[in-house]
Parts: sequence; C-alpha cells; structure tokens
Amino acid sequence: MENKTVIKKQSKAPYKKLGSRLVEARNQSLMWLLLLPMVFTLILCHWNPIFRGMITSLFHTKGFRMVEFVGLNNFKDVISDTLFLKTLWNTVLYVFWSLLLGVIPPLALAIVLNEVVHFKQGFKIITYLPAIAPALAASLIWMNIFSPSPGGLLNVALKAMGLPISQWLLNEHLTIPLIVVSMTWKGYGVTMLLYLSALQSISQELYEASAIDGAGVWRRLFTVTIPHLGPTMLLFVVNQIIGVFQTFDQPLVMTGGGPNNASTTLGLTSYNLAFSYMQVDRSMALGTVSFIILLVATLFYFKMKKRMED
Amino acid sequence: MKKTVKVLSLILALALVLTGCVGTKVGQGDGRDAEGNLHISIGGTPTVKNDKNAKTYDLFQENKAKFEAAHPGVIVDADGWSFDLKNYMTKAEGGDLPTMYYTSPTEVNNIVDNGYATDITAMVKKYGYDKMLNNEKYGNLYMRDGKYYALVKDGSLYDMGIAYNIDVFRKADLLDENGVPKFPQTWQELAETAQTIKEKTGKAGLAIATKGGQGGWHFINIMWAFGTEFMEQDKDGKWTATFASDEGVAALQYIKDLKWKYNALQDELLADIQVGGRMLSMGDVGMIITQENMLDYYIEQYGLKADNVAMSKMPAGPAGRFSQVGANIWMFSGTDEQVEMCFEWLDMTGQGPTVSDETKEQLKKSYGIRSEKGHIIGIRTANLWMNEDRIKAEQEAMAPYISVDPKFFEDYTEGKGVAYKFEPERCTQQLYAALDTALQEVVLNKDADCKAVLTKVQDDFQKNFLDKE
Repeated sequence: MENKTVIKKQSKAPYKKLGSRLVEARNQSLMWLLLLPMVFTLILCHWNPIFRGMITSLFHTKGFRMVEFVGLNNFKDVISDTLFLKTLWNTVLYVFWSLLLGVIPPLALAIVLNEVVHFKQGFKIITYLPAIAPALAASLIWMNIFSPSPGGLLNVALKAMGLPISQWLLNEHLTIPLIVVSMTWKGYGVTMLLYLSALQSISQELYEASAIDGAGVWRRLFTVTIPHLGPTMLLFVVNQIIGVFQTFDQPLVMTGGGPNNASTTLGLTSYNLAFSYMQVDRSMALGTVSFIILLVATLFYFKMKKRMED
Repeated sequence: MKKTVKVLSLILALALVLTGCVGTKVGQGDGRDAEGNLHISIGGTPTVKNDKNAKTYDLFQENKAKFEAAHPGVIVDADGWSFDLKNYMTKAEGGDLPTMYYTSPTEVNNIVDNGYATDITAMVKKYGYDKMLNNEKYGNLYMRDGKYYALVKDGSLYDMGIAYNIDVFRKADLLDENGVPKFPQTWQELAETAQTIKEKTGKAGLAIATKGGQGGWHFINIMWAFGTEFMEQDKDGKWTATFASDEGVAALQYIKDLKWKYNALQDELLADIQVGGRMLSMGDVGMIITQENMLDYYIEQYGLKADNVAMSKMPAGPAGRFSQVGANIWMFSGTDEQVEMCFEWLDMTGQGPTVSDETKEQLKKSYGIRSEKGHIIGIRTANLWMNEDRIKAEQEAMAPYISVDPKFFEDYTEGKGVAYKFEPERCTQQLYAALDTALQEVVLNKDADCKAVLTKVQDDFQKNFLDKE
C-alpha cells in the first residue's frame, strides 16, 4: 500500500510540476504582456539610438547615412583630438562640482526640514518650485545673475558691499562651478524631497536608543542618519554622475564652451560635431566613448549596491 | 547569469531589428499628392497670420493664388522653417526640407559634401540666370566645381562694415559739422575713437563677438587687413593652416590692445553678435562690426532706430581694407519638376533676373512691407544681377521708400578702396570656433602671449580638422 502510494505520488509529481509551470507561465505572460509597451518603447527610443549610434561610429557618414566602414578610425580621430583630454577633464569637474553642490546642500536641507514642525509643506513647495522652471529660461536668468558687467545682479550686490566686482563666468576657474550652481539649483527641491522621504522612513526608536546611549546630534547623524540614507544617496550620486556627464545645454547657452574651452564638455563637443560641423560619425564615436565610461560607472553602482545590500 | 545573457541578447536582437526597420528616407518622392498635384514649399514663409507678419502673409497668399492659377496642378505651400543647423540634418534625412530654403554661404560646402544639395545647373541655364548672374564677383557663394547648387536670395547680398550709434557719437563729441559720425579710416583710428567714447561717455567704444563662431567670422576681416592668409593647399591637395603668421599675431595683438590698452570693449566679453546688436540698439556701445541686413534684424528685435544709426566701410589695416561678402542663399530639395516650379515662383515674385510689370509690382510691394517694418531702405551696396534693366527696376521700386539720409551710409555704400573677399573655404565653421578661443584668451587674460595663443590655435585647427579632412 505504501509502495503504491509512493508510486502514485511519483507519477503525479510531473503533472503537478507541469501544472504549476503552466500557471506560472500564464502569470508571467500576463506580466510580460503588461510590460510589452514599455519594453517596446525602451527598445525603440533608448536602445535603438544607442546601438544605431555605436554602429554609425564605425562608418564614415554623409549626413546620417553610413557610406563606408572605417573600423575604429572615428574613435582614433576623437581621442587624438588635442582638446579631448581637456574636455574629458572638464566633464569630470562638472561631475565633481555637481556632487559637491548637488548632494550635500539638499541633504542638509532635508535634515533640517525633517526637524521642522511648522510651515513644512510651504517650505517643500518653495524648494520644489525651481524644478518647474524651463531649463533655457533658468540658464538665461543665471546668465543675468552672473553678468560680468557692473549692472550684473551679483556685481551690484558686491558693489553695495564695497567689494570689487567679479568676472564670474568669464573667469575660467569659476565657470564650471557657476554653471553647476545653475544646473543643481533646479534639482535641489526634488533631491531634498527624496532625502526627506528616506529620512522619514528611519525608525525614531533608533534615535531614541542612541540618545539614551549618550550620542549627540553629530554622532546620531553619522551613526544613524547617514548609514540609513546610504542606498538613496548612492542611487542619487550615480544618477547625478550619469546626468551631469552628458551635460551640454547649460554650457552651450551660458558660455558656448568658453572661455578658451574652459567649460566645454564631452556632450557639447559631440553636439558641435554633429550639429555645427555635420560630422555625425565622429559625434557618434564620442558619444560611444561617453557611453562606455558611464557603463563602467553603472556597473560599479550595481556592485556597490549589492555590497550594501549584503 | 544565463538568464541575464538571454535577456540582453533578446534586447540586442530587437534593437538591431528595429534599427533596420527605422530606415532613413532621403528626398520627398515625386512631390505629388494623391490627386496628382505637384507641391512645392517655400522655406521661411509665414504659415499663420499674426500682427507682426500680416502684410508678408497676405502677399504670400496673394502670390500663391496667382501662381496656382497660372500653373494648374501645382500647389505652393508655406513652410515656416528657417535654416537652423540644429535640425537641418534631421529634416534632410526625413525628406522634410522645404523645396526651397535659405541658408548661409558657410554651410553650402557642408550641405554639398553631405549629399543634401540638389544640382540646379540645368535649370539655371534653362532660365538664363547664368547669363545675368555676376558669377565673377559672387559665383563663390553659390557654385562648386563649375556647378550651380544654390542661388543668392534677392536683396540679401551684403558685405561687412562698421555700424555706429549716432547718439553715442554725439555724446562723445565725435560728429562732424554735418552731424555725421567721424568714421575711423584705419583700425588704429577705430581703437582711438573707441577709447574716446569710453572716456567721454562711459559706454563701450566697440562691441565684439567672441563665441558661437561669430567672433572668428568677424575677426577674419581684421586679420585680412593685417595681411593674414588663412591656409594654403599644396600640389597633393593637402591644406595647411598659415594664420599664426606675424600678420595674424599683429591682428590678435590689436584685439588685445582694444581691451587692455584702450579699455574700449564691452564688459560682457563672452558674447555673440546678438549682444553687440542689442547694445547698439540700446545706446550702450558706439560701434559694432556688422552687415547692412543685420540692422533690419536689430530694428525688429531690439528696437534700433533707423535714424540713429550710420554705417561706414571697413577700416584699413597695414595690408589694406577688406570686407567679407555674404548673402542668404537659396538651396533646393526636390525633383527637377519641383525645382523648375521654384524657378517659376522666383520669376513671378520678382526675385529672378527678368523684368516685367509683374516684377516691378512685386518689388514695390516688397519694399512697401519693409518700409512698414521700419527697415533701412536705400543703402543697397551690391547688385546680384548684371542686366541694367533689372538694376533699374530695383532702384525705381526702392525710391519711394528710402528711409535713411544717404549721408549716414555713403561711406559704406561707395566702399572706396575696399577689397571684397569670401570666407576661407575649408572647415570654415571650425576655423571660426578656433579663432573664438584665441579672442577669448586675449581679451580675458592680460598676460596672454598672442604669438603662443595663435600658434596653439593653429596647431589644434590643423591637427583636429585639416589633417582629418
């Protein structure tokens, strides 16, 4: 009897397994069906241009048409450009300043706001408002603020304080940080809200326990708050690196890449190659170089994320 | 891991399939609609009527009706797109260019090289334009290797000069007994005049462009005046940049002196030509380098007053007096049939070389509209056509609308002693951008070594562009 039962169980097992697989497949197919429009859009609008650009970078082009396979010649051309290293370094500087100016101040604001009791909502709205300003309009506003003429907004303030006026964007040591201020200003609100929501998910008991143990404000910040914000901060930092690495519109509008190429980025050079000089092949090669650098950064992010989760 | 590879492979395969599917479409087919009508579209024409363009819109609609009645089966479409490098290639690849659109001479080589230009030689000969165009003088603007790829937009020919804000000159006590600005005859005099303006009025004497390639574009005129040659071609066809010569360095030193010796430039030193135009219009600068048709643009954009502006020819330098010639250039995109209809359109709208009552009427209307916009009329310096009757028709149409006192523009229109030149022919935009960086360096850095700066710019230009052509 026992043997029979075992045999019966064994013979039913594959059917059961098949049945559960069918159910799973049906569930998954529904999931895939729901995902299909998004996957299709992702492939058409994101992956298609990326692969198309990579393929184009291996050809000599006339307009957007690939006319002759040239292997890695376009890569050789863009990397041997006498301004390539300077442009790459500038781009790294943009990233550095954007991390410095775009990560720490919103974090500080979020921590302060987390402690605020009154007018919290109003403060959130005020901080978020710049995010809805059009990028071009924001750049033009900042250009007026940073105008080197005596009538420039900041120069008027400096004069009123009896200080000498500044060249602002014309000073090649200040150009990148100032452009980064105009870029990150728009995103402060969003970043701050992200940090705030992460802060609010931290259990109050941890703070209370650490306070009982005698931890002061700074101690609590570095032992409770920052470690809990780690994954959010890491995600934001990687997003910031990816976004800022591709910057071209703000330097294009505010300085044209000057003075003396001090604010040129890889993105702006790529834009100029394609849309000022009609050299699509080289533009795509430079775009591919940027893509590879960002791919490495993204892989690094996943590795770090996994390590943090572990 | 296997699963990841499978998913990535699937994405790659789909992307490649889609890459193949989303192919490019060049050209516009045969230009006919389902009813068999042939369409031509004219770039830079208003598609919607508003307060600013009402007259232009009405004239276009009137011409369209007249043309379609005279050419049954042909439909003329307005296309509001004006040439913009940012979206030019996308439109060209998508077959979305107007049949006729205008651009600048700087772009003609690029457009031809990238295969977007239509060879219109046969049509130019059929309509007799080749006999009436001043090819010897202006052929470089629209011809390549003996073939016609473009036409100059009628009335758009220009050469560079210096524009003056009369009011600023008055305040600086720089008007002659007739109330005309004392035009500097040499670049040295211009520097001294600019210095006087700054000292007496506190306004900038001269506003120069330094970015967007526009600084280089203007600067070549000064470099020519100092005797600079930009590049030369050896017998193997290889181009070598030569502008970091003693003459080129002297021209750059001149710009450096304008800033650091004469203190005569504007504060906003990272500037395109719009900055100078805006400053001239608002009375914040005494002089700018510009061309006549830009003044109309400044009138429309920044409220420049036609009776507060004067123009002179380019000042002379040690090597002479030079001015770059340019124009708005019509280029074509379509079948022979469509291009032929465009030529018919040009003739009917008075933009061709032939003279008829219709031509005269069209020219009159065109000047009437410009007059209402407050444009500067009456200072035409260049004639595109060689036939006397066409030149006379233009002058007669213009006469009732002359809007400025000739004494303020005589020096410019007569252009005595000016040698007119075309832009350097290879990698023009790249050259301008390279010269921008040299200008920026010397106006922002008091200690800049002009020789070192220009040599570096030349080396970069040679290695990055000429060597890679």
